[in-house]
Amino acid sequence: MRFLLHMIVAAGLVYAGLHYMGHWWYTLVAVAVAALLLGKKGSDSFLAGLLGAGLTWFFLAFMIYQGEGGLVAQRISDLYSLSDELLLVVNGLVGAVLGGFGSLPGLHFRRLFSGRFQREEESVYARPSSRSGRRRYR
Amino acid sequence: MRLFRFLFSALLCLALFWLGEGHVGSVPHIGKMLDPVNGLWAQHDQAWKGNEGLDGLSEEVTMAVDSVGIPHLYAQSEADLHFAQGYATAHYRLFQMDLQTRAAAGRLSEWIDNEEVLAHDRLQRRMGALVNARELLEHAQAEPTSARALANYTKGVNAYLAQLQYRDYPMEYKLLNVEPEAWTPLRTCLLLQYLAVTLAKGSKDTGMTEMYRLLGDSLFNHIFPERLSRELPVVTENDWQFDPVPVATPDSGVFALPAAGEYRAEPEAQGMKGSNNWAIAPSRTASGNAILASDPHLQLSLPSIWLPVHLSCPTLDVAGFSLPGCPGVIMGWNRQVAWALTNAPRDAKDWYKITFRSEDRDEYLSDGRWLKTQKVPEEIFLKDGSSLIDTVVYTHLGPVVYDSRYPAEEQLVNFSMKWTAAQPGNEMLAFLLINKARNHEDFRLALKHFNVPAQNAAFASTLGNIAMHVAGQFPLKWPGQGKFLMEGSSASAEWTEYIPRDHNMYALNPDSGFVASANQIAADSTYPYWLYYDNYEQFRNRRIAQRLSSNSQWTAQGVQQLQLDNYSLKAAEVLPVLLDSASNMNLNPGQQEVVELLSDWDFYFRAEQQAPLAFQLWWQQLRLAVFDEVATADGASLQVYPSGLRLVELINDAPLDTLWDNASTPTREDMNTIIYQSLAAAAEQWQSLQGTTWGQHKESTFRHLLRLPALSVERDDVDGEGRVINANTGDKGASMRMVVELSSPPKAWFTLPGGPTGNPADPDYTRWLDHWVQGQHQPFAFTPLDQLNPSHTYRLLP
Repeated sequence: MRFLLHMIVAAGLVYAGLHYMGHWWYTLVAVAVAALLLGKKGSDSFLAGLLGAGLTWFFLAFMIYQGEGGLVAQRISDLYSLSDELLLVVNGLVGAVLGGFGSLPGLHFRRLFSGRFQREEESVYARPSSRSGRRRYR
Repeated sequence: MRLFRFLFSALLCLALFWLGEGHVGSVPHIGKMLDPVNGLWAQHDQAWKGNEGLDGLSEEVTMAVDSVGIPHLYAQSEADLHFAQGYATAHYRLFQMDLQTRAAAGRLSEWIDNEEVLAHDRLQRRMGALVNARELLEHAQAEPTSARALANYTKGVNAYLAQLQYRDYPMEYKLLNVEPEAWTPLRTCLLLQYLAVTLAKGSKDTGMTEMYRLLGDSLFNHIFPERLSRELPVVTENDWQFDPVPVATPDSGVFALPAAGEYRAEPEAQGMKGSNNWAIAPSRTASGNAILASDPHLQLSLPSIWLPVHLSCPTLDVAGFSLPGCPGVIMGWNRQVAWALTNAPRDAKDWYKITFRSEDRDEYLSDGRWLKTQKVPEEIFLKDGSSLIDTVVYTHLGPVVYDSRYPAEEQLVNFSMKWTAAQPGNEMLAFLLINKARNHEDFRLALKHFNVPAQNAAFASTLGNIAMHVAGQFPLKWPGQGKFLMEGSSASAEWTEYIPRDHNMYALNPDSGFVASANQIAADSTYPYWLYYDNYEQFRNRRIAQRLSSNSQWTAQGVQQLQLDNYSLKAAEVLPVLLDSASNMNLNPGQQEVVELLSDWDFYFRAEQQAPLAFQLWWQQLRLAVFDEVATADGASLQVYPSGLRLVELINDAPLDTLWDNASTPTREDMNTIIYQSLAAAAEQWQSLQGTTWGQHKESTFRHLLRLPALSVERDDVDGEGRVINANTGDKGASMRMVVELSSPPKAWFTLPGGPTGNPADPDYTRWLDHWVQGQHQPFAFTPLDQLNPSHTYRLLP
């Protein structure tokens, strides 16, 4: 539940950051803030940011592509020699990478000031988990 | 540990930021570009940003876009109108304006890291582009009319820039990861100067010198005669009503003929750039109104060179084609008159060999005395923030463009460039005055401010007058002056005066009932001054005259069709002779196929046909064979060929000429042998191109200004060829077509190879391209706002 909330807040902040602050790198700031507010476990935070930002970057582009922006998608994909579909995937991936890694400083900043340190909050880059309990998020 | 984790993850994000901004090597700024809200995706919605509180505007201006897509601006004063034009042009074409003025100033390297771009920048600096633009600006600022228009236009562009956010930047800024720069009046002058450079720079002095040195005087003059028997000048009347200024021809020592290997070819020898314009008198039209037509042939770029626009206020009502970055209309019409320009070629650029006293180039020789040079350091900034300084040495003749530092070390001789573009008039004022001209006299007086690039200015009025003026400032030259590389140390090699403006040729309401120009020679040999250019048009002009004189009931629709005429006079003048000759030969099946294909051809250059390609191959082989003296000239680093009309002359009028002999064989070839040999060579090429249509072979490219294929368009269905009226060669062609019928008020039609906007992600980017390819002129509305029925209306408020 908390994970879902984290993801939605991250997505909302990314959306607002891009629209109202006008810079792509507010994606990094937005997911960091979301993790600062709601982050708990390292892997969960990483994934919530990854999905929140990735889906936002994907769907915003997808909406343009589906709407009146077919031509813009075509131009960008031609520029990068990609297909339109692949461009949308790349767009989502770029957002996801930013969202995932962007969450971590927020989470770790939160931990600087929180007293507890839980075993579950191990660093995601130390050990990608394969435990069954995490699988449902993948 | 926790602190370490925080710092480590924060550093990782900083690295992502750095990477996404494009600060890491050649990795593209992927985060910035793919941002779905502010990056490239934002280009899908680059709507008009009409705003309140625009600084510099005094009353409300309405911009209405008509159903065809043309913007119409309605204001209460000329000041507001030019302001709004700047604002609207920036909305449509900001990147184009910015890029072209940077290209003109030699500042592209600030944006693009590329050897070719740097060479371009250095050449612009070395040709003194900025120096000339500053002089033009000085002239424009000295006249209130041009100074005001420039100031208001500049305010308009900058008002648009002031409310622009990154999200709204044109796509190209985001791709290059650069920022738009504020507009200045100097940038408008740079643009006009760039136009002059583009149109006046064509010269083959280096190649001609080389040919002269290798061929010798008599053979050179035989291959390259200055006048041809069939030529048809712009102004056909030759009753010169003036006393010519005497010109003394010096005896010797004026030409510089450097040895082979001492210099390199001039790098900017030009391709086909030309134009057509004509005006038909009421006596030759069905409606009894004069009709004016224009199609300037330039680079087929995207966005297009021109932005069609209608500017209206109580004291000015003008429509037509504007240059993004320049106030007013360059070619168009108002309530009383219409006008159009073609380039008036004449050798306007000459090269003088400079003898320096020493390596430091502080002094140079002039008539036995050592004069001081002036050195101007040009600092060129590069994309990485560093800069390099290229010091340009000036003599009184002009800048030393070519030396051992440019274009390459093999350049052993120093050449100063002296040309007309270094003496601009107030071209800005000329255009603004023409925009308001009410009659021929106004038009004629406005042209007096026009120095460069020299133009054939066609005129028609609602009163039924038509005229053609050869407008501009032409050097007063003795015969041969500037034809070859000149000796800079001899003062008599230099030209210092200009032909008095009243001695320029013009035609007003000629008996023929029409005036026409297509970059041909301006007058016949009775003109008291020496006329010379190395690449006059010889076919389009004659075809236009033939067609115009064949009909006395011209309609606007008929004139539109004439602009699309693909009939090749060249083919019509040579093919019958070639085919007749071939009919007596023993041909193999491949050669027979070419002959049969061409026997059935009607001389029209249509994209879907194969015959035009077969003809073109044969023509090229024939030219190589006839002018073999050029190709085999020992040590020629570049080959210059005479006009196609010279070959037409030889085929039709001189079948026994010595040029038919192949100089490199012991036997003596005659015309039939050469025709057969060229046919055989062409037929062989033809086999390898089997099935290719003319349009596929030519492949028309509408290239984006940054030459990005993703933003460019290629078509294989474009009719025409360089020497037919519908002059489309592939990357150059009719940059617009305009037809104006001088009813009251005038009615107009147009086609344009592009669209109004420069935004590649907007369907309007190529809105008019299909119409252009198919030759379907669209109406160009010229009405008050209440009769316009616009599809969109926007407001600009103070």
